[in-house]
Amino acid sequence: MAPSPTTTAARRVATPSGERIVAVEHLTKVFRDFWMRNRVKAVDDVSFDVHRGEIFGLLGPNGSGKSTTIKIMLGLLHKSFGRCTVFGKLPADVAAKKRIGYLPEESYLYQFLNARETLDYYAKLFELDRTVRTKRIDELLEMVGLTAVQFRPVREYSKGMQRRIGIAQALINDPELLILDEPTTGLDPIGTRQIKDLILELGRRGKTVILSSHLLGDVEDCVDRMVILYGGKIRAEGTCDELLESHDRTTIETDSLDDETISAIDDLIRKRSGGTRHIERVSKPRQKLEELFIGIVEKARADKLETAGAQHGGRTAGFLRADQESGQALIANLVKAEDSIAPAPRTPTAAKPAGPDATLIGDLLKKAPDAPTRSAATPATPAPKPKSDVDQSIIGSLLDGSGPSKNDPAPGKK
Amino acid sequence: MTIRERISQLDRAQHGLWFKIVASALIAILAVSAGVTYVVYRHAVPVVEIPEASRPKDPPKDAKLTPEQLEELKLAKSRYEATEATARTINDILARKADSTVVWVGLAVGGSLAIAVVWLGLGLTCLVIAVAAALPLLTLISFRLIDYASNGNDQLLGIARSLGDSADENPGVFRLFLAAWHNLPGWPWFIASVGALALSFFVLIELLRLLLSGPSPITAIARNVVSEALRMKISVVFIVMFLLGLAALPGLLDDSTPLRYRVQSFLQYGTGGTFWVIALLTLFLAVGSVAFEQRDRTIWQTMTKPVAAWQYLFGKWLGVVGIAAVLLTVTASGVFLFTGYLRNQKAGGEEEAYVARSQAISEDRLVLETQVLTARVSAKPIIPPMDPADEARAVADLMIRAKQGDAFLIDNEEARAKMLSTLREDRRAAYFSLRPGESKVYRFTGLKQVRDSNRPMTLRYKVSVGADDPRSTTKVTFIFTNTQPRVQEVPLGQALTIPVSPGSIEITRAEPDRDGRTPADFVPDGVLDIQITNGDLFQAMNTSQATDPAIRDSWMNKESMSIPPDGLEISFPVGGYESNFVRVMIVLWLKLAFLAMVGVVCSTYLSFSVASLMAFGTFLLAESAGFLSTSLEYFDGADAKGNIDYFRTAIRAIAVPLATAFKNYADLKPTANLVDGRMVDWITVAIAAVVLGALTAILYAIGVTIFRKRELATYSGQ
Repeated sequence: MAPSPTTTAARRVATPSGERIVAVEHLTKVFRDFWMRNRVKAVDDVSFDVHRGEIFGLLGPNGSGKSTTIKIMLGLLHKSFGRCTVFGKLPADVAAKKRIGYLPEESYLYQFLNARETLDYYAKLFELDRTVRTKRIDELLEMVGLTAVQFRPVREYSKGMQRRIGIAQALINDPELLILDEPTTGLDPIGTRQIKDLILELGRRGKTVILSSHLLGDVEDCVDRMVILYGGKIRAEGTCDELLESHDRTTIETDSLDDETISAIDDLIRKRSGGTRHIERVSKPRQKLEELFIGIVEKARADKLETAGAQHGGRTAGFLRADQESGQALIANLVKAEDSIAPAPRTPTAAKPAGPDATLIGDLLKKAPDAPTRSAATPATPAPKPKSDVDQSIIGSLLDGSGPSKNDPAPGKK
Repeated sequence: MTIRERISQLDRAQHGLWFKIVASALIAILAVSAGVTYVVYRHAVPVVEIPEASRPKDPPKDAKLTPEQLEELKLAKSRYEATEATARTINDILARKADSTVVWVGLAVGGSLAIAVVWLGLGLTCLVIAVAAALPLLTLISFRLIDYASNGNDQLLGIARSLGDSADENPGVFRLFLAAWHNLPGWPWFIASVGALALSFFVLIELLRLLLSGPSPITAIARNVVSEALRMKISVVFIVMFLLGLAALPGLLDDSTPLRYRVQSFLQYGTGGTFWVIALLTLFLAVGSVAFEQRDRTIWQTMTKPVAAWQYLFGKWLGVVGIAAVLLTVTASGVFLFTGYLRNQKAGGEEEAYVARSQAISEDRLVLETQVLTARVSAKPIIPPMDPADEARAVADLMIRAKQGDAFLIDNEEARAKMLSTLREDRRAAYFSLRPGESKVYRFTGLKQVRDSNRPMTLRYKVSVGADDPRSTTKVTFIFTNTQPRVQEVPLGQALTIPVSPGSIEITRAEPDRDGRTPADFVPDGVLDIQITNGDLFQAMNTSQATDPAIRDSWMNKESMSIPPDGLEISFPVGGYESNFVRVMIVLWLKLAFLAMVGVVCSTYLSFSVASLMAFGTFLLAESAGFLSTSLEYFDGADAKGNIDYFRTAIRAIAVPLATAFKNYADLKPTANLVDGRMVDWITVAIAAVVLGALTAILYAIGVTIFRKRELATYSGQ
């Protein structure tokens, strides 16, 4: 579970397809008091499906009904009305539970066991024989970075370490459906990154994942499709692109440009749009604090500084196999989706930054005299004064292959 | 090489297969050698012999004897048989001094545990505990030996010499070691005992964990309970308290009290007391194990795995029952071995164990061996049944008289049943009541087996006069068939015993029918008649000729005496104490298994505190169900006029089913039976297994139903 250079997930599935793993229909949960009076309606007529191979997000603020919905799926709560099936079976069915991995919103672990004993206990509940147990436990401990502290009682673990062992126990049975309730709670940025990478990796291997969170960044980075709950009701539903993409604005990202080049581009945009559009904002992207933090920790690890906590996690456990059937479905989906929305592959490492494609910019510049397109970048804030130390060679290649010209006026000087 | 590295090296070595094989063989050889040494060094056993000359000789076939001579011959034969039976019993008891069963059992248990330690790879840990526990003992012995070597210790030498068959001048190191072992103070033994018990507990728990290491939800959950119990401080506190208490008991017993009472006290506290401690631990552990999982929500992660409700509850129960079994095994082994140790102590009237001062056997020893450390059954006297017609008439008369006193009395089945019960009670009381000077014969039946085995029986009796002043006594005469009258000075209200010869049992003969034939279905029975007189019949023989009525009647007691319901019974041994002990422990374990289920079921829907209270209440109710049933007989829902008291009716409606449900549990009384040396037969064990098993199964079914219905999670939103 080594952190990858990027956390941005490429979108893959536009419309749900394949076998229905979870079916929730008009689900309602009313909590009653001792006198059977309705106390609170935690889930109110919620319906959604989760299909094989999907990474599905349940979003909403605290108390919106996410955890209640999950607990009904797992048989920890009984529905008041509606219907909920998992793998076509009722939630209490033991056969369905064999195929599920669950991480609750907090780590509810046996404090008297150590990490190894904890995983051994859960593995035995799945009736895994000794050889398989030992192999999986070794791999999972390595994956979550707890090999060095595996014989310490869980009660001595930090919250983040307990979370890691919680994740490991959720994967011990190589589940087809993984239900993660607030998985990144209590984790440091590296742990958070690792979890997100793990989710994407599992999705790539054909696992179905239900991710519940109120940390929108976590969800946005991972999920294919989501529902947003508030007050127990679904307020929005769809893929990330459907819900998040703003079609009336364009962002172009490139290496550093000098003022003249920016001015040239602005001229081009004005010319093509007939003066109706222009560059609104030019800024230097800041490094994210998450990236800075990870950089510092990576350096410390490279210097072999000691820590009593969790170690650097290893690669995703090998036993978490790709589902044959879901793998084929995944390929079929990819082929189908490529025709419609041209998705990128779902590997974190393969995902590219959402920056401009050189060909696209070239085309754009070539077509500058013609009618402007609606997909031009429309920054939201006024453009600051560009700096002069831009890399002229890149712009040179952009502007008809010629090198930079000192005579080209900067946008501000025009 | 550092100490840590050395320890690691040793640890690796103890996990090697060859080490395990060699160590196991060595342990077995050591155990056998120790047993053989004990057998070799045991003391010779005195034997009671009856001179052949005292056997009454049969008269010549053609001799014509008068009826008086025949009667005398019969009496002489009976007396000889009684003496012979008593001598055989005494010899059996004395032979126990040489009996090495306890030693062999101890060696077998210790050896098995040691081998288990080797195969579990716990040798180093156990060695540390064992050395720490035995250190005070070994230190004291070393001091004595060093003192002997440097200064010469005549006392030690004397003891060492006495241990051999001859007064050898050089007793040798082994005998000196044994001599140094003698008369060590109690505290090092106490420490060693605590160490031994802790070690046994540790090893057995590890074995239990090994047993529960299979890959199934039930065993995984059970094993988790064991791990939890070990690492929960409350369990440790309980266990340590119980271990300390058990180990301290022999030291707390007063040497000046008769041995039989010391053994009985030890058995009472050793089994009864520790059963209560284990029962409480079982209850709290069972309740806590389920309730805390729900409180801490760890149950969420277990129940979202493929674990059915029945598997979860069964696993919890199995874990708790496993711990209870380990604790009970440790207790039982401790109690059994300590009892063996006490049995070999000097009894009242003995110079040393099994060697009486003035007779073949001391009374203390005789009572201990025939009444306490045995498995006997008892028979109560038969109350002659009343003719049903007479009984019905008597009830009708009683009813008429009662209605004369109370015109509103309703004459119905219930009222008549109550009167019949009162009538029978009155008859029983009258039957066991003797006026001054009155004699009555009480008959015991079903004793043919005892007559055939020719083993002596014991009459246990209790006499009440007035308010049973503890300073007063009364004279009572007992006459057994074929024996001389026996006059006893009896303290009031106390249970006492008299040995009874099997020769007093008469075998019934079939009454021939009119044709002189014996009925085909006739089964001979052994019958014992005991005549009890409220007075001193010996004195009556002396004063019968006196003219003064005051002197002539002085043999009679002044007041009437009565025998309470449990005040007259004949008991006879039918088995050994050892096998009885095993059966008692099985019954105790069955009770614990039932209690574990009570705890588990209570916690399926209640919080820890409420569930604990309910489980503990159920335990108390079950233990006192016998008393409760008796009390309920006198607690009516309606008065004599038929007016219904709704409050009392409601209480009865709750109490009667509960008392009935737990009556069998309460009637088992395993500890009381063990302490009294009463037989707990396999039929009782089987009944206990069936009844307690059924109750446990019913509770389990209720628990599973509740558990499936209830929601394990709660509302966690705002």
